[in-house]
Amino acid sequence: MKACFQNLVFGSLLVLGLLLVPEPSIAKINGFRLNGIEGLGDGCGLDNRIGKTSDATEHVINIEDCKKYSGCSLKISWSLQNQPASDAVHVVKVSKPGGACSDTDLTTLGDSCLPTFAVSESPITAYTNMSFNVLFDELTGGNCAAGTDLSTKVVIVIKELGAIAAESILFKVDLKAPLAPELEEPIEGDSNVTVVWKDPANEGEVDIKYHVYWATERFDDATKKAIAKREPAVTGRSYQVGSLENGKEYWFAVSAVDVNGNEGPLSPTTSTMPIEVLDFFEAYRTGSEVGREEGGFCFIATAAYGSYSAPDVWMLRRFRDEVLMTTSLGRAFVRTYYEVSPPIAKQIAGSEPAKAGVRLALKPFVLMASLLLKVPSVLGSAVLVFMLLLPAAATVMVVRRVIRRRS
Amino acid sequence: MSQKALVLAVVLAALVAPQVTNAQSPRNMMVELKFGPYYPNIDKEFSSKQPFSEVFGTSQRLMSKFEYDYEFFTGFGALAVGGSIGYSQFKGHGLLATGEKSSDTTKLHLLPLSLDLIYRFDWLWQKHKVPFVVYAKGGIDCYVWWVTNGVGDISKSSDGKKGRGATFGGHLSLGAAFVLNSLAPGMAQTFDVEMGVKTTLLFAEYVFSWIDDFGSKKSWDLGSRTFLVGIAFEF
Repeated sequence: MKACFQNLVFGSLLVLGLLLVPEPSIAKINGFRLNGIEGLGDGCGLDNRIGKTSDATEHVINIEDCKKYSGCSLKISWSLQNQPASDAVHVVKVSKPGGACSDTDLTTLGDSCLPTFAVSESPITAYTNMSFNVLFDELTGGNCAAGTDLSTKVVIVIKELGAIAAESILFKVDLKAPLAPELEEPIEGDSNVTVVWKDPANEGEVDIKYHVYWATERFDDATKKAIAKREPAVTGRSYQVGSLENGKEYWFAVSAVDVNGNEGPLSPTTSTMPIEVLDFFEAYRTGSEVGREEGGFCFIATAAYGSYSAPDVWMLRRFRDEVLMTTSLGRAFVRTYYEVSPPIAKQIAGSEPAKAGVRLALKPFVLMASLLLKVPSVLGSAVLVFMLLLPAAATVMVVRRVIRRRS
Repeated sequence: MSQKALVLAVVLAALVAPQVTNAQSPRNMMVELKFGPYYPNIDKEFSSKQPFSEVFGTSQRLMSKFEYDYEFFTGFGALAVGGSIGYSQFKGHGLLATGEKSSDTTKLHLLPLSLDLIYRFDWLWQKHKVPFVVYAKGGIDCYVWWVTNGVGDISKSSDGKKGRGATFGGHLSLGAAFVLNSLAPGMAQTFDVEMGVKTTLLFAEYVFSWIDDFGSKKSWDLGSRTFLVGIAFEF
């Protein structure tokens, strides 16, 4: 019993010791720089996710890339800052996905390394512009449906003056798509449906987003692109699809998208119909008793005459369209009037004496409008501006005179 | 939006404060931050249906206001003109054809603007250090409002009327304030020297408002009977 306990303690200490002892580390290549990754062949222009830019530190290959670039080759360019010694040689090894190649010598590959060198031992001829090719399918393992999330390492090993140095270029090969979320009962609204889901299957995954798909007929993974509309990715667990037609059946489904852009399968579809809902203002304005507040904007003349088609209103409208709207100054006046007049118009509309007063006050303007419609538009606008500026100028003059008298 | 109004109020107060840094300078302005319950009289125009309470319920909502007053007379009490801006929001659920509530949210946003004439009887505090002030305010209002539907758009009724507008009216307020300077005169003195704040008051006021476009038959009534409490700084 005692010996057994001693063995257990010894074994534990040994394991702990092995864990704590650092692996012998190989020196990094002095002055190494990855200059870029380029796809070779038709349709092999890489997107930024794979990290073709020289500053990229992580190169991600997702399921879509795996399929898209299958059969392509990648040209990986690198350089050294300083000229190496004349005896310097290098090799390039590529690991299997999830594996690693030996980086301690030029000859050993290792069990989880591809069996052949990407570059066998050769001198460093042009240290400022070195490159080699690797097959894209070797990086991914060739099976895009593998469902794995592993890394492939491309290892460059240099031997210079008897010393070994190495650099690894890491490709994260994420071929694991998230699982389908579970749809809950959708919530019908007025011209909208709120799609709600939960996602226990992807619990623990970070940065999962969701796409909501919808269509007027049932769809699935195979037909979604042809039939359904896809909403922008969201991070929450619900999404409101708007601009729908009340009383019409719509189908909905949701898919999850992981941080590397892998989109999982659709949830089972569900269908529902948007329904008519009275918001507060509609509820106020409809029913057996209609609320008197009309909101919106109306205009002084219409309010005063009680009708948009009254002859004087028609004359003023013509003046607006045919005279004022033909010049920038006139348009500015109309714009300002549109902003200022609605509240005034509302006051007038509610009071008969006010309407009568405004109708009387508008008569000279109606007369002026009918006269100006008979002369060129620029002249008409000029006259109008003059008429508006006149009272303002008079006010300024009176104020100045009063001030002078007091002083 | 109420948070934005609060931030605006604080920023304005901060902008105003440094302008009066001399303790000997005369007092000439006051800023107020005040809050209170609000419930408009919209349903009063109806005899059978009650759309406002059916959608938004019967509980009052918070009204937040910021007010700035310019004191043009500070003899026997203070006479001032002022302006205020506020915000309140009612959120409820739209109604189905059956009259039941739907899951769609609908909101009424209100942005009350007002111009006031104010008289504060603060003579007791100014002359005899009795820390109570009573005041009255009267003025005109313009309540800018808009209603949104379930997707956040401006509402539109079936007869094409848009759910937004501005409603004018008037108000009368009666209030009383307690002068906080009396509790900590030393601190108040420092506040005056460093920030220019001569008097700090806690106040409560009762407000009667008639926001119905002065009795127009084409307007609803956003007025109410309510109270506001707040803090005021006199510079």
